[in-house]
Amino acid sequence: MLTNLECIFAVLFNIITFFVFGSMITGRFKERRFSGTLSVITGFFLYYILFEAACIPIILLYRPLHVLSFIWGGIMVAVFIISTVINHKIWMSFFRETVDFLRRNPGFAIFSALLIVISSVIIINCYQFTLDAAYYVGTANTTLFTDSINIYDPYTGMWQDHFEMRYFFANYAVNDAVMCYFTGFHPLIWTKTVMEAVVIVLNAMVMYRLGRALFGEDLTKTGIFMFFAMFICFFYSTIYTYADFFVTRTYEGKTILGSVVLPLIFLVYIKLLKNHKDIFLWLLLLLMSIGSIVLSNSSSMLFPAALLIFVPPLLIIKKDIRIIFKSAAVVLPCILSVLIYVLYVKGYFVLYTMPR
Amino acid sequence: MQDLSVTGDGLLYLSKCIGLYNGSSLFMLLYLLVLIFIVVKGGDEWKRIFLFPSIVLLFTVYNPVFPIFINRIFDINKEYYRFLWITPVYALLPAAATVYITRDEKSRGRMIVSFAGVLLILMGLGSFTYAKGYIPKQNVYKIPDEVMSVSKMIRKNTDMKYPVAIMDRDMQMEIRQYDASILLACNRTQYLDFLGDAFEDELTAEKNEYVNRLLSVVAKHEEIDKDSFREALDKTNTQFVVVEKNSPVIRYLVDTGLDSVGTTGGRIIFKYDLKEPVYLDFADYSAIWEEQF
Repeated sequence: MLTNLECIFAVLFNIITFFVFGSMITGRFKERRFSGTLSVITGFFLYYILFEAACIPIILLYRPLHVLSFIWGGIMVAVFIISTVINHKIWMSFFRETVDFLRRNPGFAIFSALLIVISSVIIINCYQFTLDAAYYVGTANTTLFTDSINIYDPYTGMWQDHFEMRYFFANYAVNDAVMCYFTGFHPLIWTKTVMEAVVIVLNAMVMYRLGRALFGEDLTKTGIFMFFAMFICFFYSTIYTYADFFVTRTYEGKTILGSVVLPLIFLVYIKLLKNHKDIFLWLLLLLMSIGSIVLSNSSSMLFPAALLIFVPPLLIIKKDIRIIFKSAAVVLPCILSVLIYVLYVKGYFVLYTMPR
Repeated sequence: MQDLSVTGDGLLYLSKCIGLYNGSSLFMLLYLLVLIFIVVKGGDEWKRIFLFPSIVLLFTVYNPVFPIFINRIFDINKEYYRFLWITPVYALLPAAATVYITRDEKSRGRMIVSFAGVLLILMGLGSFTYAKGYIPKQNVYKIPDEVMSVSKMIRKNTDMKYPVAIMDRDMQMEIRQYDASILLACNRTQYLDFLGDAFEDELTAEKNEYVNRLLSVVAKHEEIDKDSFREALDKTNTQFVVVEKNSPVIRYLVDTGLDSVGTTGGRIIFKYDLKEPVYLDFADYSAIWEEQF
């Protein structure tokens, strides 16, 4: 019971953290209506980008996890303070609007909450055996236990003489270890309960935004849309589909890619169809592009591919050549990470885990 | 996707990949039907949102030449299915269901009947995640209780801080998620490649020689020469062997000189007295840190 309560607090803490981080960006676009869900989603990517920026130098300096934890803790506190100072007025008016919205639409609020809670309970309470957990949870546990970052093989626990570049930038699991260091959670509980619930909430938020983008202010339609988006996940299960990953391997970085990032790119496409000059949308895409690299190495290929699917229609409909340049700028981080990996595979460089 | 190969299957790779991706689910077909409906009766907005990107998908991700092209740059044999995730099934099917159900919002009864109808269609055309049963988690860690028992048993029977073990596949994949102080003699790729009889070049085979011997016994239940097995245990510093209770090599392990130090619900834990045990510890980086600053 205590663990369940702790997990609920941890989930809420994560969502609030993303909201605070995201507000740093969404709060700056005064011409746009401040959105809580969009702030959480934006904050999620900003959070992991900043984490990566703190993490990579620590890895390259062979420093232990606890050093990264303290640095990251400091950054989080700083962001919380700065964001509160610059956004508190926006938040106050947002909370008033939210309370008002919930009062006017209690049915939708209860329905959405139930949808998230029921699907979370079903997914989280199920035992699932997946081979990849040996890497994802193994990395978090090994990192925490050895007080080092990516130096020991998560599969075996043995010291590695060089960093595996395939996962060098995908430090999502390292963040799990940092949070376990702070909270005292076992990585299994953090990844397979707390982060699973967080991903389910993020997915529901993206689906809510998609519903609103498709059906406008009609909350009945948005609610039905959200329900079927979730329902389909439980009935599209063949071990390869995004839906199966979402239901059975929710804690993996690539699941977030399939169930949050890709639908979000689609949502941004719909928004760009309305206003392709919206700077915020392009900025969000850029944040997603960089942030996705932290989630999973697959994103380096998948993100550009997904974006490029939407560029030709946008180009034809909007007849604005700048869309190509903006898209190219957005996918550049992914391309760079692919290039680095290719150079590593071709033997051009190796990063050793101990200076030589 | 393990059996598919872009080079081997050529232009057929994509259709095989799509077949495996969808399995018995007909959601992709439903997606196509809704798209055709949009072509015939859809408004401009829905065509822009759903149809245009789908056409681009058809010429790229769903183009049989595309995986062949991509595979020249990256090995995508096992992972091409992730490109299929881009298809907005997650949005089009729920959106179509919503439009269908709410086509006459004034009639609540009609909406409820439509809702139930759509649910039944999706359930009928889909493949249910828990079709083979819903297995509730046994504990907060979401691993079998037995993993914890094995960890406890190993810790109880060793004086090493970081003992090395080799285990049956499932236990091998889960033990370090729970207890990172237990080291494993081989990694996941080695284990799965060995089980799948993957090709090993001369260099890899030489590198994996001792691990392969361990896996021959533990994973493939082959009774190799006992001295050869003991040598592999010594060379890899492997102190513990965990096998399932119904494993056919239990007698063999006893005959090889391993002691059964405990049993759990479905496993037996064997201990081997290493000739020259190596007491592993973490690498010391303090000198490097001092040099840096």
